[in-house]
Amino acid sequence: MSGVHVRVRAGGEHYALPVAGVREVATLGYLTPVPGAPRAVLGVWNLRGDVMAVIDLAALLGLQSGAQDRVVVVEDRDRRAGLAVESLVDVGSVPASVDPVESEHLLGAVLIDRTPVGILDLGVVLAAPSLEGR
Amino acid sequence: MNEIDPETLEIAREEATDCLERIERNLLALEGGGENPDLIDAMFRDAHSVKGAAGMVGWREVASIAHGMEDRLEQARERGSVAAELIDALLKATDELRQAVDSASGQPEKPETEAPATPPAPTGELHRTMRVPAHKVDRMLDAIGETALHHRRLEHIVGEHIAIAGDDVAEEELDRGERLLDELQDSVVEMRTLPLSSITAPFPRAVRDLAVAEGKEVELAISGAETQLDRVILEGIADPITHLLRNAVAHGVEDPGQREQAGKPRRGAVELRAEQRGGMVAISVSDDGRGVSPELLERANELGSLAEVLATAGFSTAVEVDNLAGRGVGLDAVKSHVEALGGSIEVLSEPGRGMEVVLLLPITLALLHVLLCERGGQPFGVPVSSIREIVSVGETASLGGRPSLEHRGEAIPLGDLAEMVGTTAAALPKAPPAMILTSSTRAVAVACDRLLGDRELVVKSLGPMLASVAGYLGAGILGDGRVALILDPNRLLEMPPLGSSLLATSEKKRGPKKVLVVDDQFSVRELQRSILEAAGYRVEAARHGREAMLRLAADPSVDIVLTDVQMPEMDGLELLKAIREDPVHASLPVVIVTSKQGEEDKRRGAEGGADAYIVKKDFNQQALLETIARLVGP
Repeated sequence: MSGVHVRVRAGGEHYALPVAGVREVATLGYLTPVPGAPRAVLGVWNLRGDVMAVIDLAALLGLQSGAQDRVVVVEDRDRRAGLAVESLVDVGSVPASVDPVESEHLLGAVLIDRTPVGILDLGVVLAAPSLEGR
Repeated sequence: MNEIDPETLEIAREEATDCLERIERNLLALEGGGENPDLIDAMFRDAHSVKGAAGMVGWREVASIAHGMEDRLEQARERGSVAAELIDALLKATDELRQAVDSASGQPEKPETEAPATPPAPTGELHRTMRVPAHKVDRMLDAIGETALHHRRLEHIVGEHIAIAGDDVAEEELDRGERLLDELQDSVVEMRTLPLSSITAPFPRAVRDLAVAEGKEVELAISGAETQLDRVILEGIADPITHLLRNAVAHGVEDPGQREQAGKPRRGAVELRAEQRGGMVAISVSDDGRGVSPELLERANELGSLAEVLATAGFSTAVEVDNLAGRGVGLDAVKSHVEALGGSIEVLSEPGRGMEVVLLLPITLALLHVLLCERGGQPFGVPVSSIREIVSVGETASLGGRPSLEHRGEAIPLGDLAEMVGTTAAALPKAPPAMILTSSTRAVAVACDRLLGDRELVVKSLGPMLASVAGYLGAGILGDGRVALILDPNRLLEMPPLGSSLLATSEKKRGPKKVLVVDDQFSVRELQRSILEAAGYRVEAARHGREAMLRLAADPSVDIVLTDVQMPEMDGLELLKAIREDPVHASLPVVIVTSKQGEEDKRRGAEGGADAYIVKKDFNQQALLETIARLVGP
């Protein structure tokens, strides 16, 4: 779980994504809403010719979402999506020892500069079942 | 130690395969039509060719079986006829030969004579056909799609410049580029299409074998085999077509005796027909057998379409369910298969006269000709092939509490695109445009804000994360980079339009109370329907909770819900919860019917706020009617 992570702000809280699963960070462009899709799906967008779902990370985690203008494009096996976040905090390593937390989307949590940071489990975040409920 | 080069082997294999196909076809023709010396001659020549080709490349087993076949045909040729037993034996020999060819061409034996030590010199002959691995063509098509996209983007950017500067040269070049791209696209799409005949070869034999096994006499006619379809679609429909043919023989065509009694020829006719219909290809499998029962047809009229009723799992027109898939069970799989390919299915039947199943398929999967329309500022694509006409919505009328449009003497249900896809948008403009979508059994008018014109779009999948969201064929990227969702016309046709916003105020005249019956079992639904209808109620039916919620959203006049517990998609208790959480329907009476007498179910039902609870074991007409009358009145 240690290693380089990308830290982002979502719903006013800090979350970290393993850098191996992050393809790029982009500015949120025009989004096409998909009626009927789970609530956390903001819509689909066009990233250089690819159609990709963009997920509201805060909403997925059950938080109040703030103004989102960055999209972190993440990948796990054949699944790919953009995670809309409020801002990018930094890129750096996180401590190896994490505290367990009760959230299906998180592998655990760590303290960085006295701020709690949730380590996201990309496999779960990108799995459709966790997106159910509209 | 020279091997025969792979190309020569491939040619030998193809030649042998062609000969065997012809032999099989001729054998089947002989079986149907008695004596025909020409056919026997033709088969003899083909068997001889197979033997020759096999000898040339050293397939000893193939050569020996072909030799035996040749001998038998020689005798038949002298007699001038082929006995029925011989046809069977020869058909078996064809199968053996095919297997032998396959295994031989996989691992070629050494030829008996030593091959020349040097590779044969190039003959200099020009090949008129070229074999290209399919994935290479796919890659090319992808690249062209991307190029087209790029061109559209360029057009968008340069277009603004042209408008300001009035640059004729740039405009001309852009036009030229577009024409060239169109041409390129067309030729590659064409490259990926193949005639239907590329998959029909095994069908006559399959039909014949099954007919023999079933003790029936059946003749298969194939027409329109030259119709072109996308390779991917062809590969996808071979199994469904086989299934439909088997159904036609096993469940459609009657025994020869029964047919004679019904005044039909002993020999049943099964037809596989393909034809192009606009941007789609219609492939139909029909038979002149028993068809569906009149009762079933009536139910189909009520529920919407015969395809839907038959595709309800567990339904079969065969009286006894045998080891072959019954008509309905199989049709369910065929339907989902065809829909996955962007197609649709229609079933027509006349009781006692026969049945026809039509698969409507797009010619190609890669590019789709769509009409772009806008609703609530969002662009949507609708396949042009499903649009019958564009009209401007003038006056609307109400039919059965829903808005409708009078068009050429026909009342067509009218819906607001936003409501139909499940979103909200500002009110429609005055006299909005509407697309009239049709299938052979239904029509619906879909209103939007404005039309943006038609495009050829590269269809992209919404990806695994959105795969469960129904209603879309995929998405396309527009010239300005926006993504447009491409609507599945079948879903729009299926969905009863809501369109409350399209009617001013419609004071509903209350007739008899309406009951929504929810059960995944067809027989239970129909039993409850008949009891309730006999008591004067109006009845709507749904197969599971999710469908029930859709019905409720579409039809606010439902007075009470009668639901089973165990159902796929969304069970009865989940449905109850969903109803109670829905502000519009929270107070709707719900009666739960279940086979389980468990206290747990009862408790959960009560917690979810069920108004009554009927156990199927105690189920009787009286109890049901009393409960309903108590809750909503007669």
